Amino acid sequence: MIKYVAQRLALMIVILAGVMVVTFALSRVLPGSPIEMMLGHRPTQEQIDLARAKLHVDEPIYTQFSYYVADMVRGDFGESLRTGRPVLEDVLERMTATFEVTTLAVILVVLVGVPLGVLSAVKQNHLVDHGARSFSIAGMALPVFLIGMMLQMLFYGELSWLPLQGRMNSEILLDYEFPRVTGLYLIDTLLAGQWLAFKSAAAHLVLPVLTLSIASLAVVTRITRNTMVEVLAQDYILTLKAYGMRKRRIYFLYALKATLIPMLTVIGLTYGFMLGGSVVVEYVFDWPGLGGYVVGAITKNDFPAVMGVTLFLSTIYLSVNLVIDLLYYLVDPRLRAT
Amino acid sequence: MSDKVLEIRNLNVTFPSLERNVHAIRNCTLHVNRGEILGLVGESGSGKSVTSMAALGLLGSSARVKGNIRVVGREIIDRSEAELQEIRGRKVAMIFQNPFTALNPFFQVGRQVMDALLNSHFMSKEEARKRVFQAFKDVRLPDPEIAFNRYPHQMSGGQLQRVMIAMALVCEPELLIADEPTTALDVTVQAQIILLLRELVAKKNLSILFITHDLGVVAALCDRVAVMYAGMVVESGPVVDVLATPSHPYTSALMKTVPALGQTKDDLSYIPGQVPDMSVPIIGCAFAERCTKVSEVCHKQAPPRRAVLTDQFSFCHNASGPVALDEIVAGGRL
Repeated sequence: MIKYVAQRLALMIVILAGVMVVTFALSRVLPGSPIEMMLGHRPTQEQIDLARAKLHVDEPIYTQFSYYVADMVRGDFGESLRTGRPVLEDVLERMTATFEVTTLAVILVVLVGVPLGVLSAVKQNHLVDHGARSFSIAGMALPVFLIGMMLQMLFYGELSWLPLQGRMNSEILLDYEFPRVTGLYLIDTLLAGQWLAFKSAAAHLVLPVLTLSIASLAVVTRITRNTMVEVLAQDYILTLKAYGMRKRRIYFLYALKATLIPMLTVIGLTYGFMLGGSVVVEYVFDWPGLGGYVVGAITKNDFPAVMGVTLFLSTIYLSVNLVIDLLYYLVDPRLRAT
Repeated sequence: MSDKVLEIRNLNVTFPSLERNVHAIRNCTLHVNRGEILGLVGESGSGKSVTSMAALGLLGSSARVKGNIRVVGREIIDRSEAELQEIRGRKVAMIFQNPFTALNPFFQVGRQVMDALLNSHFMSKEEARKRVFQAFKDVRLPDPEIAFNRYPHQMSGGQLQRVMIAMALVCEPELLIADEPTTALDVTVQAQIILLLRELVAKKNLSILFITHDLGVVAALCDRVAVMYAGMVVESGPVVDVLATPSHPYTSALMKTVPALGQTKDDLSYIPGQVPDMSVPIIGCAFAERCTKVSEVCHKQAPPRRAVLTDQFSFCHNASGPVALDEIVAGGRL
């Protein structure tokens, strides 16, 4: 167990080092001057000299790299050239918004996608299976922005059940104060006991979560169905049937555990990917997440922000993968043997 | 009711598909008496496994099954899933050809055996665990407590097959269906498993339907034998009689294919031709195309069942002996 974890951790560090080299190299190769970006139009020579010294641009490239690595290791991602605030602070603030939507979306995907996949595997080529399959194909084929806008038209435009966009009703946001303990509005409002604010936060989450989950839902349903079909054809399932085991126990205990490995892989990858922020969903719902921040930073040549976000996201992605690897270890006894 | 734990009569199984219907079992009739081991032999594709699956009602909804199958007096065909679950495990248990794939790799073997027991019998977990340990001892698994917590990948094929036999025993069925349980094992392990089964039959009042294509195993283990060809039993009777005086050319041909020690490669015998296409109706005797003693009548008329000895029956035009009457069938001879 310890050896397994150590191996994965070592691998993670190597990959992160690689990411640092690449982001650093890219920031030096890409056109555009960070100095200009930082100082605006017509700076004085004095200002330029000061900035050059601050960014170490006059020193040899390997010295610059060592400064960069040292900063990163200390958790200092630099200051955003655009907002003038520390990049880490910006990222964390945006990240919590993304994290809230994404996590809820993944939970929804697992809760709906897995049973649906099992059901359509069990009822192979029956009505449920065809229905789930059409739904999967539709979910994958429809562009995300279209799904989002259709949901808005229905639930906001026609029915007026749910808000159009944003994280919270601005009047409620002003009237009901709650401390940002976790940055997750659902939890913060509950902690502060602000019931109205909680309801508003929840209502604002529904459509973004739905939109974000539909495409992944399709993938997870599909994968669950196909692995389940494969597992159900195994000899050990026949053994259980030959001993009169009830179907539900066969499907949801013995067969499901065998499908966990491929399913964990897909769910982990999906989660890691979504944590990068979905630009489209954020734009459609005016959601202050990471995706929009990254796009802004890239278009404005905000190098510290781009580099910081890249490293931050790589770390998160690798951490999710690490967790998945550990879960593999728990699920599959054959891994434990070696 | 007579003392038969398994009685299959005029079983017909068809697998319909868009292009052609495969008629896998044609009028198969056989039975297993209480306390005996019946060997069901035949080459691949003769319908042995389909027959055994039908006996458990495991063929699935796509198969069309007709005839009668009685397990310990209970009809299997056209029963609901709930009724079948009552019988499976409790009355009849099964062990399979490949012990490496028959157990779930994600669960400890002891847990799987215990679950099968708890599913068919009402008892506490403690009691179940005790019985599983006892069953592991009965099948001679060393260190039952350690074996209980092992995963399938940590055991050898012989050990896994012992676990499967333990799973069957612990449920205390009256009939055990063993579908080529020694085919995937080493010859030495095969001998151990066969000895074990022999011993268990004597001790536990068990009856076994033993499916195999190995006549050597039949000779060593079984009391009676039924030879299957193209979806029907062509000859049946006590092992001594059938192997000493085979009355069906297919049985004789099968016996010639058993290689003996000291034989050279050139001596290896096989049956020329192949099993008939099961998707077209068979006129006359199914074996006629490959038979050395074929005559004109074989291609035209299906052979009747003849009693060549008191308990040995054969479906061959050339067999001597009176045609067995249906009354005898009803009386429970075959």
